[in-house]
Amino acid sequence: MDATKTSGPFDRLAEYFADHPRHLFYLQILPPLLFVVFFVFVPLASIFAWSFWSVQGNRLIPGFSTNAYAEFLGVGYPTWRAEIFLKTLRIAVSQTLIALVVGFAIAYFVGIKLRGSKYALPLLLLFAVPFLTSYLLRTLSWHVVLQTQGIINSALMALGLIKVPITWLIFSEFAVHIGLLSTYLPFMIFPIWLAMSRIDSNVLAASADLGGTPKDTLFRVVIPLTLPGMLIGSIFVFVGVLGDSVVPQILGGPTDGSGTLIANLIDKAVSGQQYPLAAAIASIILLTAIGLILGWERVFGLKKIGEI
Amino acid sequence: MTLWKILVAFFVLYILMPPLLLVSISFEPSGFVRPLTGFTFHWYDVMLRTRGLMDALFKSIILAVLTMVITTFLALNAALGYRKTRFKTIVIAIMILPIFLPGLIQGFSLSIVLGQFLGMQRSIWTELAGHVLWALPFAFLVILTSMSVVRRETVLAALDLGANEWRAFKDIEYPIIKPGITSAAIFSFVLSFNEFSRTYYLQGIGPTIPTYVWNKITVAITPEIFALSALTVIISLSLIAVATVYLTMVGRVAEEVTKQETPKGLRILRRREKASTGSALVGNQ
Repeated sequence: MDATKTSGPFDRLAEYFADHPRHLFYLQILPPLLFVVFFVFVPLASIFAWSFWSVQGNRLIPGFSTNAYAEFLGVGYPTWRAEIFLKTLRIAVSQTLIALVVGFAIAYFVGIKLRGSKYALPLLLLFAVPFLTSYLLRTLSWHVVLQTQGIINSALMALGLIKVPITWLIFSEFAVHIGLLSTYLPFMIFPIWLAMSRIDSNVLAASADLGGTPKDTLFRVVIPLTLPGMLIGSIFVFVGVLGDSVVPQILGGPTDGSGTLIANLIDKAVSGQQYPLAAAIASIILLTAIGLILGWERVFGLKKIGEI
Repeated sequence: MTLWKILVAFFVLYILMPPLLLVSISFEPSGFVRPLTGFTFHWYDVMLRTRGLMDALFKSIILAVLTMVITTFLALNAALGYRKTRFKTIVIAIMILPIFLPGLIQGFSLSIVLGQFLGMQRSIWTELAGHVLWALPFAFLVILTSMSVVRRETVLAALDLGANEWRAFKDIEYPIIKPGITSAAIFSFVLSFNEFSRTYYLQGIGPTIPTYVWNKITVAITPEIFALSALTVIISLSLIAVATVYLTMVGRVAEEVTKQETPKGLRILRRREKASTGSALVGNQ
């Protein structure tokens, strides 16, 4: 294969770009970057602006008013939205903790205990698979499992273990947690596993050589080294719960309030054409997300992203 | 150790159960949710005859194909450009950030920008924008990872021998990363096919599959919905299996190419490299 032989129409283009490498670079990197900047960052930044505007009929009118925030936080307005916000935060925190414990355990198993085994990577990918199926359908599936005539209740009744269906399985905070974990567990597993896989085997061997039990190694070596991964996973889960409107509606209950979380409030506001209000709620969620990410960056530095 | 295995097995089931359950229900004759009492394609038949449903299926497929083509092209170029820049962290941060942010909010904000400020009606193009945005970070990461297998020496050797950059790419790099590009394309298809939260605010006339299902289940859950859901799951899982096979091929093709070109000394060096990342308690020999 003679690399110098020219063939085909692209070679003249190639000659041009060989003489002007910068042009090729811009041509390659700018479209995707600009796409993301204009379709993601600009709209998200605009949300912050819109939250101070007002709305007439169907259109947003520029202006400045903190009305939307007041309405959301219940200052001079009914406080039910703020209560939902607090409830969402609570659920987000507990969900993050659950995901942290379970996700860490699984990542530990795959990344440390199964290190070098040929089963490690397939097992890991197994956890990634459901992510690529529809999140709406997965939640629907949980509804089917947990409902009063659902799989769990039918099975328990058929086995004679209960006489009456368990009602708190569905339309409850329990159901919401089950559904959320199903979606966000992989988000927690992967960053933690990534951080764990970078721990040099020699370090683990050294810990054992110095007389450490597996528990010692876990607490004094593995956990500190995987801390960045654990925090990234936590941010994923926390922000994800804040932005989730599907699980509350399908699995949450109207009675204990888990059926409406703040993402549902955004939805309600949009259907009511209260765009500034929706923007205000969204801004608060976004600022929380950005704040957490920046906090992570402040502690660990941007370079860690490259490593992870 | 067995305790660990039981625990992890439990969570594997926990994670895999939802999609597989949908498949099981879709074949259940009674139309109720219960363990299989029989096996039937009846609900698939109903599904094929439900007009609105088939329209949604058709639309989802078209959208997914478009997303696949555009996203893969953008991701490939982004990965190629990323390697050349000094500002690697900024570029990666920009490309990856959308994953962190809730889809609902991205869809909402984009719909306002496109609707109120650019005066665009919601259409397949607005949905396409949302889908591409969702798939782009993942495709980018997959292609970038598959590029890391390409040994720099091989490319440099080609350039030394007089090839221009296009030739070096086409004849050396591209064959190696082609499986990676293919699997990135497949992932983009699957991600778009299943995407819901961004599409929700951006949808034009006619729903996609997830939006159709959403509209239906807020009224009532009917059996042909399960047939549709099961079909979606089966398509997604099959494509993922294909993509995974392609991904494993990336490593193997690279091995082949470099085995032919690498002189003996480099090969010994790399064998030593591999040995040092073995099991924790064995150590180096």
